[in-house]
Amino acid sequence: MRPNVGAARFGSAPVSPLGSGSLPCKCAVPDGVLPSCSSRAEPGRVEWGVLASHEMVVEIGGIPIRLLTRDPCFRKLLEDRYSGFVGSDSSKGATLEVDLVPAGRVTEADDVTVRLEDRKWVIERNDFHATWDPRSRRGAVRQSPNPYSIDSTLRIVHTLLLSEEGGFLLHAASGIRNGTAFLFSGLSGAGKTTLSRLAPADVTLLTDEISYVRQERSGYRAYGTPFAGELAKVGENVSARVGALYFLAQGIENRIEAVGPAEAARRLLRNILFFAKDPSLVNSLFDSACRFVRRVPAYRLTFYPDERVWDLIR
Amino acid sequence: MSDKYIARSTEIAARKLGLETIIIAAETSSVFTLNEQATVIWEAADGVTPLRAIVEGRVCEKFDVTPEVACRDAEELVTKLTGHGILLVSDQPLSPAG
Repeated sequence: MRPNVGAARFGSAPVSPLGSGSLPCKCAVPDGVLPSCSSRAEPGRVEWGVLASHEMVVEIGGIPIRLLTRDPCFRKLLEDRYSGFVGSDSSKGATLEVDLVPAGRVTEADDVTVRLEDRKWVIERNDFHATWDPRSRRGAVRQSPNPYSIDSTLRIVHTLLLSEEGGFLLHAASGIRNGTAFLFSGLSGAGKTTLSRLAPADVTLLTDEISYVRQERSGYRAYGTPFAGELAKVGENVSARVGALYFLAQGIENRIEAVGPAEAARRLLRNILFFAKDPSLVNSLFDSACRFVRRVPAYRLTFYPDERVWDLIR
Repeated sequence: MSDKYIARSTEIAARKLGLETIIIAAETSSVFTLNEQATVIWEAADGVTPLRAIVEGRVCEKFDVTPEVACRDAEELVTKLTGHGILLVSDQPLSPAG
């Protein structure tokens, strides 16, 4: 008999840079210069009055977020970036107002930081500064006209929204086969992109990088996301009930082994996107992870990187 | 083993999953997993039952181990958990853990 304790660190704070590349607006101008657009004054003239506000709705995981910008070119960039995830109903849901500034450092924070100040979340990295009010579900972000900053803000806002309802974003590829979603979790280098690339034609890829998981009455549902990894392929905007969670490891053969719930929870916590040190948020995600592993079977999937690994995923 | 009293910290969250227990210290985001044996001690850490009584009454009853070995291992565990701030230890009874 030997009572034992294993320790680990929860969460993976950094927002990984997008591998999908930017989808520049056709009217974008070089770095450091705001895009010229119809809502701005012509040179030599002063434009008075209220600038027009352009809006669009980005709906990821069935949660619409209305993005407001004064710049139609930036809106076009967003429409391209989130193609397939553009919603139509702006009457409900959350709102993010985007204030564009010239490219360059917006804050001094090199790594993304998320903290509560006066009951509002403050989210910042050197390329953006955002606030988010969880009560009104409204926020504002100050950034240059690039897709990476808004992408990072959206990931974090979705993390905060999901934490209120038992869901989470997970470092995982995911796909739907025969009507069931499968999650393949692991940090960078575990094989998420490799497995996604090997997926046969009957698999609908939800993401090769960040999986979106929501709790339902009878289980969990995984949604496609536009958060692409090295595959640089936006996921399909569809969803399915989660059938299994696999923790990835690459090896010389294909093998599946069951993982006990405590071990699964520990591994899951390591891979959940997690940004804030706030104790209530930490406890909320901890509860979510523990509930998830009670309801969804977890396995260790060791795989040799060829297409035969998918024979095991049914 | 002198009489020691152990209590679970109120600064952590713990959930029993199967026969094991997973614990998170929210302030540091550190995650700990207790195996089945450690879980027995953890669950009995009410602040008022001496550690020796926990070991002799619960651990030795449930697992095939001598009291001497069990006490030594339990002390080692308590030292580790105390060091991580997830268990409180005292020579006097502590407030009952929730």
